[in-house]
Amino acid sequence: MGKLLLALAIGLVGAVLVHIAVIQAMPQVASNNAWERLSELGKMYDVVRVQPLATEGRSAAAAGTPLQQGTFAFVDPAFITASCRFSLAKGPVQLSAEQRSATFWSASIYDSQGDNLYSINDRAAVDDTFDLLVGTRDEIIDLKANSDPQSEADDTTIPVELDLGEGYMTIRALVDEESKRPEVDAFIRSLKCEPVDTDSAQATTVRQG
Amino acid sequence: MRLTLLVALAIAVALSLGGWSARWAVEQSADVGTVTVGPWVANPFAGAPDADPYSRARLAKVGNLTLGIGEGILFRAEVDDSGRPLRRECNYAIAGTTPPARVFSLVPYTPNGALIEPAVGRPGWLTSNNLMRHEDNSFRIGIGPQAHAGNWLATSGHGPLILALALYDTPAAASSGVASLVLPGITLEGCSRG
Repeated sequence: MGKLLLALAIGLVGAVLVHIAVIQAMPQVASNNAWERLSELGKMYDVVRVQPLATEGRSAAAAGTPLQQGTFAFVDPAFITASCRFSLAKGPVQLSAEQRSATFWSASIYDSQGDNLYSINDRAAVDDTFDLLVGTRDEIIDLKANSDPQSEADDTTIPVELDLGEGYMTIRALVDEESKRPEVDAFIRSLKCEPVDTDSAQATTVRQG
Repeated sequence: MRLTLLVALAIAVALSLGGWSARWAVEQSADVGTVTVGPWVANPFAGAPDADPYSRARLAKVGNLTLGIGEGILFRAEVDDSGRPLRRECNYAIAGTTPPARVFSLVPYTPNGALIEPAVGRPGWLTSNNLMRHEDNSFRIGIGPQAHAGNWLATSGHGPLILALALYDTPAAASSGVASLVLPGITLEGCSRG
């Protein structure tokens, strides 16, 4: 009897350990987290649209498939939301938009577990332009050392030092009036999410100079 | 033989109880780390690296895209000022002011986060940029399936309703003072039958 109680007590202590282990491991092993769901939408460096999950009603076609591709719960319909996944393993990444947005936008960078590491919006950006150079500390330093200092005068690029391997970016641009939707849409379409080739970066700065 | 049985029992208890309690805790811990302002509930640390482990586990399971800490803060309301659950077929009035923010949006969702879309041509969401306001900058928004004069947010259908108030680019997102914020109240104005 005493041994049975001891076994149960050990089992209870073990249960506490299993509980803690499961909770801590969940962000790493979850198969339905934002990273996994974004990777179903497109390849690495692809800019994908994030749509709000729709109910029955206007878009009845969506009924029956509650989790169709590209839809996320609690996405704000007042914004056009886009996202892309990137990796810093082989070098820094340039996240940029060629066009400027007429409306408010806000962007965030997350690691693959969904932890928010960096945020920026149009007021904080240089010249209202979305232009981020994301890399690890060493990558940023390398790139700065190789770039032409003269071309930095009209440079809107903001270097972002992040200590991560893989991550994703989300950007939301406000559509406060339907008449602005084409403009905001063009801003989101001009988004680029591409790895910086250190050699070609040098080449372009030479050409500009 | 008896020892083997006892060891097996201990392991079985550890795995089953531990696994079940972890699952239960993630499902039930929705209130961990949240801040409540009247009927509005926010989780300012959602998605932050220093969020509590239960919030992180829940986020990984749900797979939502969170709003970055510096981007803004999302408040959700499931009940009105007197604690009654919000319903899609009822009419509500939201009145008051919000903390300073560049933009805020007010959007109706179902409990699983799907957008409630009213009939074509009706306003399915509102942003602060096109609200009509009183002279003291406060506002009043009518919510419900029946049209309201002034600001109107249309809902449709039947069932529970979640209102999401997202404040973007706001000092309120700095989590220190979230609980002391003043947010608009939600009052029931009557329900339509059928």
